[in-house]
Parts: sequence; structure tokens; C-alpha cells
Amino acid sequence: MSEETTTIEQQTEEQKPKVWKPRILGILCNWCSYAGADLAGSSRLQYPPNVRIIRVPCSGRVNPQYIFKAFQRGFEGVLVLGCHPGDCHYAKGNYYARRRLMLLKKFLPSLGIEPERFHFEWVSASEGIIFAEVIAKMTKKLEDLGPFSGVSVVQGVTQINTDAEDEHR
Amino acid sequence: MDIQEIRNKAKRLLESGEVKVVVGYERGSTESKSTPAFIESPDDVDRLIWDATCVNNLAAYAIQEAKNGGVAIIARDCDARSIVMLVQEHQLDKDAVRVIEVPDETQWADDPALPESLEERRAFWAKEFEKCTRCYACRQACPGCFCNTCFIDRIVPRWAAKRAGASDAWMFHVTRAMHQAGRCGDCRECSRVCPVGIPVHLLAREIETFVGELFDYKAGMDMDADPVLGTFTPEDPDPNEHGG
Ligand code: SF4
Ligand code: SF4
Ligand code: SF4
Ligand code: FES
Repeated sequence: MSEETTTIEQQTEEQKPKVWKPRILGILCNWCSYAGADLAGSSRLQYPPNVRIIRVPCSGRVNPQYIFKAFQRGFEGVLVLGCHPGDCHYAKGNYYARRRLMLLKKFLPSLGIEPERFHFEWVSASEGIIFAEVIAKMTKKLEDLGPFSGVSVVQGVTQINTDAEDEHR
Repeated sequence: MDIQEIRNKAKRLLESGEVKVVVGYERGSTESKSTPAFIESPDDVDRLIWDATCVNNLAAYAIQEAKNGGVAIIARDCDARSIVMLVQEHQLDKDAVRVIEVPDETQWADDPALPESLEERRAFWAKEFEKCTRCYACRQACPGCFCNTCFIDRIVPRWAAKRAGASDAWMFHVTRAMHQAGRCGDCRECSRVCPVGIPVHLLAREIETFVGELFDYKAGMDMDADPVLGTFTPEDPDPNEHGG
């Protein structure tokens, strides 16, 4: 995870995109949605290039901490995709994930975070089109919400951590 | 409840050898304070008191005391739920613990209400967490925080910097609240022990509300029930039915 975020920090610094695009962290199951994303790529389907993808062996591997960490680091949105219920390669991983992630989604407003900033869904390996649609829809929603000012806005001062800061403490 | 009744129960449990220690309350350094008491002899049960000064959730001592033989714990309803939870989480052998139930006479402080708008809520927590000294008293006092190594103390991966500051404290507290899913009996010990008055229990309470709404589950009610996030049903609420 740390490598991913560093890359993005650097990229935003270096490339200075002219049009603001929400940054999305996508955590994708290797067996289904990651393959779906691959298919979307190889079929040259158009989807907004503002997603950074982390591949996990199963949606059951997704610790809610990953999602909190992404918001703490200032991602505008987090996406988790897994195999459809019944199709998990480890049989039950996505069922456990579903409990945790449904709870997390409900909890975000208690923290003052719009629930739309977190999306999770089932996308199979053959659903490249759906993958592209999910990204496009989420990007649109996040654009409407606007930039995320971080989890620690106190009197207008935003504090977003970088990896370097974490490691030097 | 008559204090004599509590003392008698404690005495019987110690005399019969059913437990090695009774954890209750005794008078603290002043009349307005109580402090946890560890009674090991039937002759000492008269030290036990029960009044409005007795506020700590003694379930936090259950794991440690159960290791030395049976333990009996004086517990209000919320504290008893912590004990049941510890059995459910396989932290405590149910034969090694007895609960001496006492009615809840605590004068609970008023809770601050979460602001209505999301923006105000984010600012509310940022302002609270800005005060956090990262002393971890909240975690240490919470019966649901029984891990040998807490995620926040790990070096690899490092989940948040160690310094005080709203952003890193946020990471600690929201994760801790999530870890309390299905574990929190709303004893409010975490907030009571906070030296700077942060109402952290509100986070765990929000989580418990949603655990109830989503999975019809209440923490620490049934020793034989699986912990709520350690199980599932195929019919659980699904993201696609809830607008994702
Ligand atoms: S915060 Fe989480 S990891 Fe840390 S002690 Fe509590 S339950 Fe364990
Ligand atoms: S109120 Fe606080 S201390 Fe008590 S169980 Fe819940 S989280 Fe733990
Ligand atoms: S007890 Fe209070 S100051 Fe200490 S870590 Fe918990 S919230 Fe922060
Ligand atoms: S293998 Fe894809 S969700 Fe479990």
C-alpha cells in the first residue's frame, strides 16, 4: 500500500494535472475483478485513468484499516471489488468481507465522510464492461462531491500525511 | 442492592474454592472515590463496597485474573456483557469466571450529540482528536481491546505516526472503534479514563447501532453466539441491494 500512495503523491506533484480528477484507490480481488479490470484494459474500454489499483488474493483479505488509511491519506474515494457471492475462490471470503464492508460504509457518515466515497461491488472476470462502468460512475459521483479536505480539518488547516512522515516517527 | 448480599456471595465463592479471587470495589484514597479491590480471602470481603463511586468496568481484569484460577467479577449489565463477549471471543474460559451482578446505579454523564451535517461531524472529530495525547488509556481500559500487540504499536506496517495530531489519532480511533464491532457493551470506560475528555465511546456506540441494524446483533448477550464479524449468512445485507 505504501508504494502505491507514494507513487500517487509523486505523480500529482510532477504531472500537475490541469483538470482536477478525484483519486480513487481500487482494492481488487485477483481472481475476478482484477481480471475484469485487465479485460477492460485489453479490450481498450475507456475508463477514467484516476484509479490506483491494489491487487488482493480475495476480497476477504480487505482489512477495513486499508480503507481508513486511504481516507487518512486524502484519497477522494475507495473502491473494493470482489467475486460474486457464491463465486469466491476461497468459498466464503467475500461473505465475511460483505459484513465488514457494509458496516464500514454505514459508519463513514458518523465520521463525517460521505458514504458515496466508498463503493463495493461484485465484478467477475468476464465483466470488463461493468468494471469500466463502475469506475466511470464512481468518478462522476466523486467529481460532484468535489475534493476531499481530509480527516483532520481543524479551523481550515488540513493535515494529510505522506509515507515519509509516517516512517520517520 | 444490599452490600451485605454482595459480600456474602463473594464469601461463598471464595470459601467453596470456586474462585481464587473476587474483583470488586473498595474505598479509594478519598470518600468520593472507589478503587478496584482484589479479594483473595473470605475474611477480607468486608472491604467490598457498592455505591455511586464504583464506575470502572472490572471486566478489563478478567483475562489476567482467570489465569490464576477462577475469578468472580462484580459487574453492572454493561460490564457483564464484556465478560460474555470475552468468552465468545475465546479470551476467557466460561468455567473460570463468575459474575456477581449488581444493578446499574452509575450517574452517567451527558453525552455530546454528533452534529447533523457531515462537514460539521468531520470537524467535530478533528477537533476532538487534535486533543488526543496518544496515551492509549482508552484502549488499556477497554475490555474489548485484549490484543497482545495492538495494530497501532506495529512497526511493519506502520498504520499511523506515533506523534500526537488529529490525523494520526483519527486513524487510531476509527480503527479501534471498528475493532469493537460486536464487542462494546457501552460501559463508556474509554471516555471516562481519557485525560483530555474526548468522548471516544461515541464511535463504538455508532458501530454497535449499525451492527444491530444490519445483523440484528447485540454485543455480549449470548456466550454461545459467534462474534458478529466472525460469521455470516448468505442472506446478509448486500451492497447491490443498498445502492452499492
Ligand atoms: S485497537 Fe484493535 S488492535 Fe488495538 S488492542 Fe484494541 S482491538 Fe486490539
Ligand atoms: S464503551 Fe469504550 S471501553 Fe466500554 S466496551 Fe465500549 S469501546 Fe470499550
Ligand atoms: S485516552 Fe484520550 S488522550 Fe489517551 S489515547 Fe485515548 S483518546 Fe487519546
Ligand atoms: S476470491 Fe474473489 S472474493 Fe474471494
